[in-house]
Amino acid sequence: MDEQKLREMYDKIRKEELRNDKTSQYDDKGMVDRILKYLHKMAEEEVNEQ
Amino acid sequence: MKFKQITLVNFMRYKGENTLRFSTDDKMNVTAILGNNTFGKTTIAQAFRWGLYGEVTTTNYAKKEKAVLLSNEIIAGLDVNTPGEVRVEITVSDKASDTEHEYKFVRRQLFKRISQNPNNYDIQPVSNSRLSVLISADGVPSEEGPIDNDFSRRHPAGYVQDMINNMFPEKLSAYFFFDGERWNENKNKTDEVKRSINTILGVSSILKMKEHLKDGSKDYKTTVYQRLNRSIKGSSKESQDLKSKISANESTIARLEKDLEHYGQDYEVAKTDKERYAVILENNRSAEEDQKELKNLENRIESNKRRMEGNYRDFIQLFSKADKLLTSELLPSVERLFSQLDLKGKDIPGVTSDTIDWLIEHKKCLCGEELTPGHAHYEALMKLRDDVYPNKIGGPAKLLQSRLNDWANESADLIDKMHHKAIEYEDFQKEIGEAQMRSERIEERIDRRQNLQDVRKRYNRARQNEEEATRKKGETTGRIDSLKNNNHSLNVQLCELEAQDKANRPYVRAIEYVNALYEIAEKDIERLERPTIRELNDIIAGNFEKMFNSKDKYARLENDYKIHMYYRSLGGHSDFEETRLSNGELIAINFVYIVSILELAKKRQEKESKESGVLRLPLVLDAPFSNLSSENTHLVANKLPEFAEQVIIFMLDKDWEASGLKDYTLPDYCYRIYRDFSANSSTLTTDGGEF
Repeated sequence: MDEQKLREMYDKIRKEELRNDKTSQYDDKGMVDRILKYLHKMAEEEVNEQ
Repeated sequence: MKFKQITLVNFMRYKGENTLRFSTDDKMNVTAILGNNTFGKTTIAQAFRWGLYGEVTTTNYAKKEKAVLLSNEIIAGLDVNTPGEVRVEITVSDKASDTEHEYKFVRRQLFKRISQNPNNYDIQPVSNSRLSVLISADGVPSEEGPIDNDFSRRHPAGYVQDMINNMFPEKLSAYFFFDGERWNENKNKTDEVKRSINTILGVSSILKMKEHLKDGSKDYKTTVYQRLNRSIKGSSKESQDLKSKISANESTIARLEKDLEHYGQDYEVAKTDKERYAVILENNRSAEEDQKELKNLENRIESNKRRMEGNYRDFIQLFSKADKLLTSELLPSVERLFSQLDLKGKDIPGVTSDTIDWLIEHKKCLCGEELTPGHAHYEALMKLRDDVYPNKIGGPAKLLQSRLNDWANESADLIDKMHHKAIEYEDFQKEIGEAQMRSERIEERIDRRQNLQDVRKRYNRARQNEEEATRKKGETTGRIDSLKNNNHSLNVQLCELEAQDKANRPYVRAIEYVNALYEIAEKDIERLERPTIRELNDIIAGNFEKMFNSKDKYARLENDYKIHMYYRSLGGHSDFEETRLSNGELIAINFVYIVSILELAKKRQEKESKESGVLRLPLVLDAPFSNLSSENTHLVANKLPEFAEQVIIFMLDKDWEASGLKDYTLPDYCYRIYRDFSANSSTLTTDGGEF
């Protein structure tokens, strides 16, 4: 697994969590939904590249 | 980050516009607002909360959903069609770099009266509150102008609220908006302490990430991990199973096809044999029948011979018992002789002539009478002597007569049987003769070298073999067809699964991401949490010592996330925990914790970038010393300017004197609240403390 890519994903999700922690814009279900879509999109891109 | 100014417009008991400017001086960093109880100190603290977060809280920190935000005096002047506006403006200054950035946050909301009844003061909001910010750099407003939280062309909805929460996280607001009454309560604050530390470190976001990725919480169970797993349809294991089944079926088909070939060969052999034997049988149809009849005749001759032999044995046996026949010619003469004897009525059982002679000789009858010649008994016996059998003939003669009768009967029966056997013997002999004659005739006709019965057996076996081979061929063909159909169906499923596997790949990969990200999050928490607790304890120990000016006691945050106080040495015990804290000690410890948390946040900010979620906060204190003695008030208060970035404090006059905060407060930043009891409203002036 590409460590750099993984770290970027980690930072992005953490930043979004941090933001949501402060704003409470999304509930837990909403955040799960967003993370799921993001990770699936990243995985799909990687799979299509192969 | 410091508060520069707050303006309240018709907010609760503050009618019209009331502005408070706060000291942003680095050393004289205290702003004091003095006022008696119920004059409106807490209302200003509420204005901060509403201005920043759009809500107010009660002293128990429950949300005041139905708090009346609009000033009563304003409400009294409204009618149902004319709304009144509540507005709070908070200006924040950030001098993190050479440039001073100012953020002027404005929250406003319109309300109107529900009823035209002049005595009904109930109001309702016309719409939700609106939030905006105007950003300036060194006093020059940005060209963009005010940015609306909900309606901005350049920024996403929630942008302004997001900015506020980055500066002053609502979850930490219990610390920098300090409510004295609340903190006096000695209650378990473990979760709050944990949460505050996590917020300062930015760990709360990592914990949330962990929750969302895999852990879930009591409120929701469906994590990213679970949803990804649910999205995967079928599996590579299923594909593998299908491939194994197809392969096994193909092996079986190959084996069955080989069997089928053998059954075909068996069939051909059996068919050829059957046809060959059929030709032989067809060509010898009459001969076969003759052979059958001949066989039957031979069997019959053989059987009759055996019966003749039996008959002969019976005859011999009868003849061996025929000795009586030798004397049978004498019997009629003996019978004639006996017929001349008068044997009728002369037979007295057991009495013969010898018996009577014996009685006469002894001259006494059996009945006891004397026997003398001339007497009646004597004469009667003499007469009887003439009638009974002579002693040597009577019994045997009678027995002989009886035997003679038996012999006559047996002789007649024996002759009958012998005669019958003789007839049977002749019959068997005759039948054998006839059969032999017929056999001779048939033998003259047929060729005995050819065993047609054996051919018939072979023919039948070949026919059975042919049928068996046909049945097995049919069965095997059926099984092969069935397996081929099964494989076709399995191949279709395999194609579908392989297509599904392709669709699954991104989900499988995303699950791998989840696992890897979860692992990083765990390591990050480990990396951040432990050293931080150590660091926080060092800060707590230092602040406790400063605040209490005491060397014999110390405070420490333990693993239960509670602050414990210890005596270094007491009654011969070292590190002796004091479990019965006085009210003053409890408040002081809480202060130590609060300022330590803020100091930790400050230190973290120096270490890390803003992206990490580390904070730098002012301290807004509402009646913090209301339950402290003058001595303790002084002890705690005069340390606050040192610990906090900025101190804004609402307090009673009596505490102001005791606090000694005058030394950290510029005259322009000491306010006093006045209350107009007739109008139930308050106003602010800058003639607070005496300098």
